[in-house]
Amino acid sequence: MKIGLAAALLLAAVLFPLATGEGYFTHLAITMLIFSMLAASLNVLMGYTGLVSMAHGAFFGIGGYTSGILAVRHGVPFWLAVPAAAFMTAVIALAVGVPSFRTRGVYYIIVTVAFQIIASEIFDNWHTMTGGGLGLKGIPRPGGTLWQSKIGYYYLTLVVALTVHAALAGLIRSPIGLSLMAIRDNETKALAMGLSPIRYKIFAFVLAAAVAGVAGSVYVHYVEYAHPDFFNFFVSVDLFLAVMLGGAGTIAGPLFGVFVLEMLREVLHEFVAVRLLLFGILLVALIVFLPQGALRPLVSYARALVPPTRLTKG
Amino acid sequence: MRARIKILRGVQVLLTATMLLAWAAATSWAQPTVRIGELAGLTGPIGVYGQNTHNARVLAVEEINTRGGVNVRGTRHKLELVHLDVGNPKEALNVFERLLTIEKASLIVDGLYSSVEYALGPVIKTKNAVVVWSAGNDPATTVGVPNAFRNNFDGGLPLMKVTEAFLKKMGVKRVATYGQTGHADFKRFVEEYLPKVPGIEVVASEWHPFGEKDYFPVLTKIKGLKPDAVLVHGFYSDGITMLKQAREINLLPGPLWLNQYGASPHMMDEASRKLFEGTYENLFASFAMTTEMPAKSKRFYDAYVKKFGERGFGPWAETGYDSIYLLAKAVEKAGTVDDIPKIITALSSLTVEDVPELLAPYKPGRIFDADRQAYPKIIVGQWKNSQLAPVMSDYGQ
Amino acid sequence: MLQVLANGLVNGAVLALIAISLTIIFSILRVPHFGLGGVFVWGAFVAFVAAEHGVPFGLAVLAAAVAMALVGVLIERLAFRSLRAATEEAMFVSAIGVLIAMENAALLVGGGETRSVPVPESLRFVVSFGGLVYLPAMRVLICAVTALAFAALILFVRTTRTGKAMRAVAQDRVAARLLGIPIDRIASWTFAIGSGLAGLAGALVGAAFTFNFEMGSLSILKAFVVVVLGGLGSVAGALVGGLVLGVVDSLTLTYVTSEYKQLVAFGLLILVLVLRPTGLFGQRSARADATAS
Repeated sequence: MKIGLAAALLLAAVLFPLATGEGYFTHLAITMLIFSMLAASLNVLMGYTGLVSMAHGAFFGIGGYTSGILAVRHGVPFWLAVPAAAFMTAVIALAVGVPSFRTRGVYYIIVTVAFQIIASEIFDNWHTMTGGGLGLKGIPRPGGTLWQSKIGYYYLTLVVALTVHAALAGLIRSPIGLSLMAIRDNETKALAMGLSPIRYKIFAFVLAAAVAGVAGSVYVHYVEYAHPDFFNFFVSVDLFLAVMLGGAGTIAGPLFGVFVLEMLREVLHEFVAVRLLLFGILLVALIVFLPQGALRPLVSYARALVPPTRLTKG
Repeated sequence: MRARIKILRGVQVLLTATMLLAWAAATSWAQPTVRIGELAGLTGPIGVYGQNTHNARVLAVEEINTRGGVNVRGTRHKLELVHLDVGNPKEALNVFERLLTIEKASLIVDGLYSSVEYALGPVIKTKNAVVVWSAGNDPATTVGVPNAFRNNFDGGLPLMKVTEAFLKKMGVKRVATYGQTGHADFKRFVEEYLPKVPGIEVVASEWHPFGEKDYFPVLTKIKGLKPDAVLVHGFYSDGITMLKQAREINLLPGPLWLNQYGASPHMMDEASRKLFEGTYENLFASFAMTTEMPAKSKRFYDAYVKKFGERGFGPWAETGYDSIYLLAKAVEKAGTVDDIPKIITALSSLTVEDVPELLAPYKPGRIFDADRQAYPKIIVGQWKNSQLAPVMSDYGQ
Repeated sequence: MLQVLANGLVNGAVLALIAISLTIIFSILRVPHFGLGGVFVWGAFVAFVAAEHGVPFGLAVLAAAVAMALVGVLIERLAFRSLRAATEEAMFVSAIGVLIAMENAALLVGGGETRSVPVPESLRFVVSFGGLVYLPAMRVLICAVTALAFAALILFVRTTRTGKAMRAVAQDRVAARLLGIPIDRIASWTFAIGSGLAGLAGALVGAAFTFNFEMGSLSILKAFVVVVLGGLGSVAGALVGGLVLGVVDSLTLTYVTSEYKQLVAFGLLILVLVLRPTGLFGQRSARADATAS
């Protein structure tokens, strides 16, 4: 049944822009695909390694700016800029990650907050490089007319996102994933089992950052612009919220979380001045009633609708 | 029995109401409408600026509609303002697409941060739509976007020229600057433009993050440098906090103090106005918030106060109001509501004389230059008795 | 130089006052209550409205503290009580919701303007410390209140029955319940005290500096940093953490850079935490480990 559902979703994802064309929904879908990569990679940290990072927006930005600066100032083509962004983000994550793992829990969260704020300040102030508050303009789409349209770029993003999701899901189900979870659940025990928690944590952190870097690159080449506000602390908070609302530690949860959060924001635009008040109240309501995230209860509700005989088969 | 009569009465009322509504709907449908989409900034730090822009636009739409709407080749069209709230560039991208696709509005007005305008540029280019920006003043937001216009002044070279002229007029030699980080237009001015001005020395260029509460350390440092003038730039919400502390350490009254906040007397309470007393302000192009209000602006101001109250009336009200009249006039002149290229041509060729309702102090003749940027007079005003009195103004060209 | 240090200490005292309110709630109930940012804003707002209506300054500040204590109890009931068994992350989501809702409610009710809580003429003078250091009276008052709040809190937690119960809950919630300590009531008390302090801080900051609807998120983030810098669960740590950060800020601004001041302050924070992974005053207890899981 799971495979059937996945196939149906995939088919829907492939056919989707044919119905929506160049407009709003395709745009939203591209944005959501990009943010789904961010949420999924953050989930590797939050859900499977037990590391709550508030610096994912910063890595998103480092990827975006690396790629954007290479493309604008050095004429590097998209296809090279993306791996370069991933590489740069990974290197910085390694440099930050190694010392930060001496801290744990809330202390670790604060180290990531500090890193995010420093990164934001650099995006804001290093204006010969980033353009500061004026942003970085003129980041080109990849060459070829195909990618100039939203539909074309949608398929590009879809392929990148599916690759990332498949790779992350594969990783989580692999022995590495099991080791990560063992470390998450009990670090001392994992150590006794002969695992090296630090090494695994660094691996997860660098990997998650690199994925965020790719997402940043794909995003800035899509909107053809980079601005500090795309990558600030509030973006990190938003990603945290997406993972939590969908359900941390499940593969599909964070993707659903991105969908819930983005749709919530979109619907609320209409309520103009009261929209953020409503957003705050809904956030509290969602987590109070669904502390495990929205996806799990939804799935069990759906299961309850299906006759039990079929359930045993699936 | 009685209950039943009550129910029947209820049904009767309901039916009548439905019929009335249907009639009202039918009559309103009888007149075709032109939808104008608005990216409104009513929440977050921009809210204090965005609210007056939005209110002014509502007023302009109402005025035009009571006069019978827009005349397109003899057919009267009603205007309808569809506004959605936006807080940052990412949301702006979403909302812009939504206004075009879902709300079916291809005439768009925007009253937000300049960063939003930059972010929208690449998208706008690809759309069959026309956008009028009436707020934000970062440099050259319309350059390279052939369907984007801005009727607020450009905070790049024009503002720099006016600022320079003012500093020279006041005989300033040593300047200390204190800006909000991320305001790259000001950074350019401080680091690239001002040092090249002969006779002026920048003795300190300091920065603070948005929402800073404690300005004591930096203000103390500036005081020690004894500058002729202090130039500050950012959101006025921070400015109030800063000025309060400048007075606490007796830096004020002292050197000439020039704010670039776009703050108006009605955007703050009396206690805060007292803090501004004696200082100057030059991030605005609207005489309506000064002591020298022209008759036209006065009429608008009175109408605004009657509908919304004077609280919050600010520098982007007049340009916001103008944006609606500019679009309306362009549609009339083009003789079409949906042929966007024609509307763009009409908008480009509009002169100040074509649109008598315009309020901001534009340069006579063609409103928009080749880059679709307008040149209203940038005003330098001084805070006197809790009001802004103009001391000079220039197009900055 | 002395003036620079004094400026830093005062700013640190403000940070510490908010940080103490955060640290009480966090160390006793493990709720990372960012919603206190919203309480902070409303504290200032209540004091402003009261003072504008002729209530004497001291009373207005007190009214703000009391009102916010009540609001705090309400918030605990609505947003956190049913999450008591949930993870800290889930509570954090709820706290962010409370923060956003409260800030924007303040925007809707009071508008987006920046205001000051009116201060009586008798408090508008500059205190001279031996002619070397000058500080406005309001800032001196904030330092005094912070010290007072700190002392009162220590006394309350050490000597009163409720205070002792709070410490018991902080140490081991299950054992505390087994001993018959009513957790719900202790939670209400904790939120009341923490929120009351945040409201008090808001009122004082709104008077000595200024306030507007969105000052909450930045302040609470800084306070959180201070709490962690000092060491979780240590009220003294929050006080020292605040003072350290204030002085570092002031020195950086005066002698190093204003453009990259966050880089210096937060870079230093990272350095401290890497060298002392449980903060300046945190014990190397099971708590840090428990938090990790």
